Amino acid sequence: MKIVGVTACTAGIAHTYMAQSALEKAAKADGYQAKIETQGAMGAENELTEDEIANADVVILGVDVSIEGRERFDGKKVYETSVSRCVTEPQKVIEDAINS
Amino acid sequence: MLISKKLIDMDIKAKDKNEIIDQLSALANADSRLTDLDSFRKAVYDREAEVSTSLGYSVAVPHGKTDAVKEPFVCFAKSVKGVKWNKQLVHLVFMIGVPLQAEGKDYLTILANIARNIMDENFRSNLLQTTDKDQVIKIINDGEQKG
Repeated sequence: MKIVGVTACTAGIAHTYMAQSALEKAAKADGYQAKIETQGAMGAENELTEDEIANADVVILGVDVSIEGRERFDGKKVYETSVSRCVTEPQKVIEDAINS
Repeated sequence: MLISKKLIDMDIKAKDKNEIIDQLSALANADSRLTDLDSFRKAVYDREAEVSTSLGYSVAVPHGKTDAVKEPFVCFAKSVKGVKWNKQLVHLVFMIGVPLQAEGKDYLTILANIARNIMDENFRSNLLQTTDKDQVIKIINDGEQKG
């Protein structure tokens, strides 16, 4: 199972990165591959490549604000939720995304 | 340096999150990080009112992004007993202040690494165990380099 995602919170200084880390850790614990792009105060980091997006089984958007490049995920299975949920219950978010 | 000994309280006594925000803001002000204590506090309160910055793991990360910040900083506080932060019991508080306009992004990178480290159980338990301010700075700085 390959997961890609984007996290972005309002201020872009803390929760964006906590959510990224939480999702990556939870995915690893479940034996999945995950790469999460952050769109915070520094702009986009850990950017997803076209191939990574093309090969992903599911896209998780943990976003409280509108993001750059959303059209990259057109035609993919996209699961959108809040940044806070990605931090508080990352395992559940992944499970829901896969089953969505 | 984003963090200094003056920005650390190893056993904060407060009855709620507002008291913690007030006390930590006062530390930041005393360390010349702010241009305006009241408007910084207001920015942090406003941010808290949007969504609580306590999202489990016994941690809260209140923050203010405002022109009332002169020098970016991280305040750290520990509550041995724990403080009720909305519905969560919080033992570790990282309060972040950044100016509205980011000049250079080095400190944002450091803050992002601290945020990622907060999700690491060892990082949290090391901070919970130590009683020494130098050690707190070391744990937070070591985390910075790990990325």
